[in-house]
Amino acid sequence: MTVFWLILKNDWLRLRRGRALAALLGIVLLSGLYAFLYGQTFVSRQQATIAEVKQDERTRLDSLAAWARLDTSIAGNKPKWATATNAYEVNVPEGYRFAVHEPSALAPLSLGMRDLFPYYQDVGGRAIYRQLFQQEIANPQKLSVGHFDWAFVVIFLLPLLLITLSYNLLSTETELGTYSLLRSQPVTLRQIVLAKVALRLLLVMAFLVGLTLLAVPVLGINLAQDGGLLVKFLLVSVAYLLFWGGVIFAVVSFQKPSAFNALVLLGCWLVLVVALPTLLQQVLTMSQPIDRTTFENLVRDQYSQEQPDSVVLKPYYARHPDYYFPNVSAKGVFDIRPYYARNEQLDRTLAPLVEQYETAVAAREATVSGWHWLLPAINALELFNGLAGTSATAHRDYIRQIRDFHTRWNAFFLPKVFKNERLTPADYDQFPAWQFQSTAPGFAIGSGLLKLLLGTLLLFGLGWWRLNR
Amino acid sequence: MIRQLIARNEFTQTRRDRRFVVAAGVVLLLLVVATWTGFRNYRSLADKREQANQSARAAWLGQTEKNPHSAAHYGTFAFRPKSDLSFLDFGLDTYTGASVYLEGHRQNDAKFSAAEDATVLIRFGEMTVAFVLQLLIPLLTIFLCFSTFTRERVENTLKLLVSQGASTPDLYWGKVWGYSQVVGLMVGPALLLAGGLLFAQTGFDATADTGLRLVLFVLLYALYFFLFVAGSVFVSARSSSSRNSLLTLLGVWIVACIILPKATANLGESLFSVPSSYAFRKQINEDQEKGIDGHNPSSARAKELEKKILAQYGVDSVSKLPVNFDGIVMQEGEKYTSMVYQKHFGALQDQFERQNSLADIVGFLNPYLAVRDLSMGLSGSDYAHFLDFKAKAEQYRFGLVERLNNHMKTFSKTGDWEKTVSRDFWAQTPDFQYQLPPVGWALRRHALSGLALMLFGSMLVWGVRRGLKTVSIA
Repeated sequence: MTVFWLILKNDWLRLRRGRALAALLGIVLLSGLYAFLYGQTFVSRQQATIAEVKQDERTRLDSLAAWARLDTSIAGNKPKWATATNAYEVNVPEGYRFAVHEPSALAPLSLGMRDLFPYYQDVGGRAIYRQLFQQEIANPQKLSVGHFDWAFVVIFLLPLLLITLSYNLLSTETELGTYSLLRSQPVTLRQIVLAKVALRLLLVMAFLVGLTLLAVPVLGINLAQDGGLLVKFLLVSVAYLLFWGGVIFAVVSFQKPSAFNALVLLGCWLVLVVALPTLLQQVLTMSQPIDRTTFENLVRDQYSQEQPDSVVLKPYYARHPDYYFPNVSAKGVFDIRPYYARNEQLDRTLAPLVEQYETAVAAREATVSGWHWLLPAINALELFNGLAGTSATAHRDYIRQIRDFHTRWNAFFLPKVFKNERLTPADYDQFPAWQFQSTAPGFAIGSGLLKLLLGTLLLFGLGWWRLNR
Repeated sequence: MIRQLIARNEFTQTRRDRRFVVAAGVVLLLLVVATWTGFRNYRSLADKREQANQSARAAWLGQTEKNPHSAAHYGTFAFRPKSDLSFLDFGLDTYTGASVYLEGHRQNDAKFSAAEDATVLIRFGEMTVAFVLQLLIPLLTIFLCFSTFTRERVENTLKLLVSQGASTPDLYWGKVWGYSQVVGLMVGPALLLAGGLLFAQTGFDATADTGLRLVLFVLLYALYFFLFVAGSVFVSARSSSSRNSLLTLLGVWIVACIILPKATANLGESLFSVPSSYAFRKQINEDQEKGIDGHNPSSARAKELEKKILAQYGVDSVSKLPVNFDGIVMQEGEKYTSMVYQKHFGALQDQFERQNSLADIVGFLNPYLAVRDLSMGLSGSDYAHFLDFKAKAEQYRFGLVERLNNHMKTFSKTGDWEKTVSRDFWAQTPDFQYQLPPVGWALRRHALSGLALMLFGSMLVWGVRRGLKTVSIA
């Protein structure tokens, strides 16, 4: 066994003395630090905007609440008081709230789709489908290039680091003429290769763990609260690197020259990280097309505007008998009730369209996850995004929460609108409030991790078998 | 003469190399698949948008009788047509909005980009022809050339060649010429297919502009590949071993094609910030309310307008005006809001261009960035073409709303919102027809990248000539 350790020690010394290791680690370290910085800048910008919209909401609602308490015996107060106690005015134009998709603590590590989708949304009593499908301002060129975040470093760059450190781990012995010397020692080839791969894996993983831990103070992650998520994140990174260790082990087991190994390993990287995902993307847009031209109806306010009030209201009351108050009249003021009936009619028209769209997107996602076995990079990125709450699925869940909130918001105001009741100052404390529920804590990584590990096992098995021959 | 012999030798040897034939076969297959899928996607998008434009027009023509201003609120849509060459390079088309809602009072941003309904895959890019040409062919070129000098040095065949009277530049340029032919052989068939598809879909009646764009597209990539071949052969000549040569070249590829594009875009975004859509809308509303300079509130503007119009018609009250004052107010309001929107959208676009300019500048050192930029520009899928579409759609919107407001002004009296125009009035409004700007316009937009590429090419040739003087043959 001492020989074994001697070989490893010698290997380590050689690695350490080579200029390559320091240079490569330096580059990846800089990339990693930049990735943290970038992720942090990106998220803190979104947080600043979130703070701004929350401030906007607080100012508006506080001043409305103050107006609702005004003394109406003073003539000048009357209009303000009238606005603040009018259920429609607060429900729609004045008191709308912001539904915010709060970034999770891990969001800076894997920004995912947070640049593609809006992360705050003003929600009022209008038809909900006229409010959704907003977009945030973003530079299309930046969107197309994607993020330089930690997930990118792990998925794209770390495998390259590992490949550069390992492609010649056995062939160099042949090329330096030390191969026969090595083989004359009482250790098997399997042990040697496995130990050398393990040494390099350990090196890269120490680096990975070190940098991930560095993220804790840099990004201000609260370990007590999000430590579990961070551990899961680290587990996925480790499994992904193990997979690449397996690829290297399998390729090296063929005992080809260094240049050949380098070509084949880079070829593997190219196919798994670059070619297959992009190809699948192309095929997917062709085989499961999504037509967004039908969405124009979401934008244009044309439905049911020309139907008389009674035609719109009749089916509405049939659906909501509890809102039917035949004795309430809205004499002298603009009757707002048909407005709500029209909104609901509009939502009912658009709901199937949106549902169809969401089903189509979910079907695309299902196709992609069917390919996870073959696409470790995509698998890993989806796990990262899931843990960081930045996936498209997380966004769809956010949209669902907005719809639920819209229902609660209107359920509070509509009885008052239809009864033609004024809001009281006490009502202001009862307003439904937005509470975002992140999908990240409940995100399961088991099956994704299993797929990664099974691929790893297969590759190590292949290498093990080859090295015996 | 000797150069041609060397070139022919490299060409023949490469063709006989089984590993290379396999790799080249895979890349050619990818290229053909990318051409085909790109074309299918392009056709389906182009058809859908064409149909959508027609149905938007039909909806406009078929709308009920209403007063002209209500029609402005009803509005219409402009769907962005796909440019002919966009199937070769999707550029930013996936990330820019596909349609604009054109209505009164407001300039909407283009909405519904394809990226929004993509899965996580979109983060890895799209396998388009441009993707293969920009990323994979250079990599294959590296595989092809990295050992061309180092191997011959080990095998001692270089000495043999020198004894035949070949100089170092002969050897170098001969090899470059040989490998360039190999790359041409690899890319040629796919580009022929692309050209065939392109012209077949237009019934072999493509415009001269499209033809010219395609020719320039091919020339651009020919230059790009030449740079990679020349650079790779040069690195091989200067390297002590095949391994060093390969590592150097792969390092260059990873930095130039993977790391730098992301880093420049990300850094650009961090350096030049843009407002959130919340702040953007707020600023626009404030400018409309308080005036673009902050000292000209809308109420004051309205009063001033009333005074001016009353004086113009020589009457003392709005009700005595022979025209519909509301029409005038709305048209003046439209002019003002347009100005406000133009100011803010303009500032935003400038900021985006500043962010992108970082990549243009780095393009002087990294030909990948320059080629990416020019390729998108020639394909009509870059940001500039998108802005051109948006500007023309806005022009059309303003013209349409102006026409409706002016009609309102003359055909009814002030305060009359009930009077409607007959349906045939809708047919008198012009249809929106988008024309792609000519190739010269596109080239001017990307002059910097063109310059960067030329400069890089000249520097490379100059550097090679200098460097070859000190290359030891044996």
